[in-house]
Order: sequence, then structure tokens, then C-alpha cells
Amino acid sequence: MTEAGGEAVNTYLSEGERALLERARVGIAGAGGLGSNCAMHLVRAGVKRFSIADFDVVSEANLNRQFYFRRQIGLAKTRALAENLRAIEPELDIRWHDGRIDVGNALEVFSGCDVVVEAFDTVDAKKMIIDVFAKTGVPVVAAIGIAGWGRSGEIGLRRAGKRLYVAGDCKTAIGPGSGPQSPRVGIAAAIQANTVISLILGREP
Amino acid sequence: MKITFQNREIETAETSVDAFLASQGIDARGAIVELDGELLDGGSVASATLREGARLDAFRVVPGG
Repeated sequence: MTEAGGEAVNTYLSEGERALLERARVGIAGAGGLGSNCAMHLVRAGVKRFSIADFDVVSEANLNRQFYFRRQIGLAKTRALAENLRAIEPELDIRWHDGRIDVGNALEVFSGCDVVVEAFDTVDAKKMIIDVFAKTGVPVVAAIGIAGWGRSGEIGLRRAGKRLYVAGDCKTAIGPGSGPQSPRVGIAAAIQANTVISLILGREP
Repeated sequence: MKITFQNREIETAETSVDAFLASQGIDARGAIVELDGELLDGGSVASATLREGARLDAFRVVPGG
């Protein structure tokens, strides 16, 4: 049972693990293919508190990999993602930010987060969130190199410094003939979620 | 001096991390850079220096999300 009396989504946890996951706040920086799928995994695992930031709306082109549905086209991704996550677990504490994230507001938008998931799509945005949080004690779980098909075994996790974890193959960029596709994006998003959960539970990612 | 770059021992005359990475075809502004186990943010890379035996790792950030 949860604090509010509902049935817990994840029944495979100890009380201690559940408490740690429910207490943690996770920042989702970008609610596209990585962020939306990572958040979905985290909710299924038992995380209940999120700060989600994305300036974009759901479009038809997103449906090949992102955790949205056709009926949500045109909705702000933050709102659409909150709706979908609450369809799994209604008792979520979600803060959202519909504007762009930059060096001036990143720390404020993700204040109180125990870990931040870097899930942006441009190089500048990825570097910005990594650089901003490198100066803090907050771990960042990023993803780099998720495009295309195949080569599942090349998608892994590496650590840089003390608090940056990077999922992906660290080389395959989005480009002509190498689009963002659900399987490889999904693998990287799942690795990000698995890493976040490990960090929250105090285990080696 | 000898340093270890991406797990390979390499001889270099460069003392600046920025310049060394440029010589390897890596623009530090668009890369994750780790020196002796510490992550260097964009501002730190410009002033970071190499010493004998330094361990440097770097990989480009590529788009996709």
C-alpha cells in the first residue's frame, strides 16, 4: 500500500527501497524520446516526485519513439507526459516548466532534485546542463549516441568525473540515414532510468 | 611529456588541455572532458593544463534525444 492508501505500482520492493524511491525528486531535462521513456520507467520503478522541463509540444513526428499518443498532438509535452505518467501512478508530485532551460534558470527549475536526467537533443543544451550541474553535488545521468538501428551491445554506460553518467554509444549522432528510433532511444532511456534508480538506492550504477 | 589519453600512452609537447584536444581533432567546447578523474566543465577546460603522467579522456557530445 502507498501512503495515500492505494496499491503500489511496484510490488517487488522492500519498504526501505520504496521509501527511498518515493522520497527522491528526479529532474527530467527534456521530455522527448529519452526523457519521456526514462520517466515512464522511473514511475514503474516507484519514483513519485519529478521536475520536468520541455518547451515543445507533442507532434506526429514524435510518435515513433516518445511516450505520447496521437490524441496528444499539440499538447505541451510537460502536460502530456504528466498525464501519461499519472495513468500509471496517479499519486505523483510533478513540477513542470514549459520554457527553455538555460544557464540562468537550470538550477532553479531543478532545485531540490536528487538527480537530473539530461534528455535534450542538441549538443549545446546537453553540454549546458552537464556543465551547470558539474559545479554542484547533484549527479547528472546523460545520454549521448542513441541514433539509428542495431548495435544494441554498443549502447552502454560510462562515468566521467564523480557524478556524471553517460548512457549511449557516445558516437552515433542524429543525421541523414541515422534518425532517432524507438529501440535504441528506448535502450538508452532504460539505462538512464536504471542508473537513476541505482543512485537513489545507493548502489553502484 | 607522456600522458594517457583515452587509455593510450601518448607523447605530447602541448601543455594546455584545450590545445592538446584540438590537436586530436576534438573541440573541447562540444566534448565531455575528464582530467585525472575530474570532470572539466566548459570554463575549466580553457585553463586546465597537462602534466607528466596525466590521465585525460574526452569524447564528443553528439545530438539526439
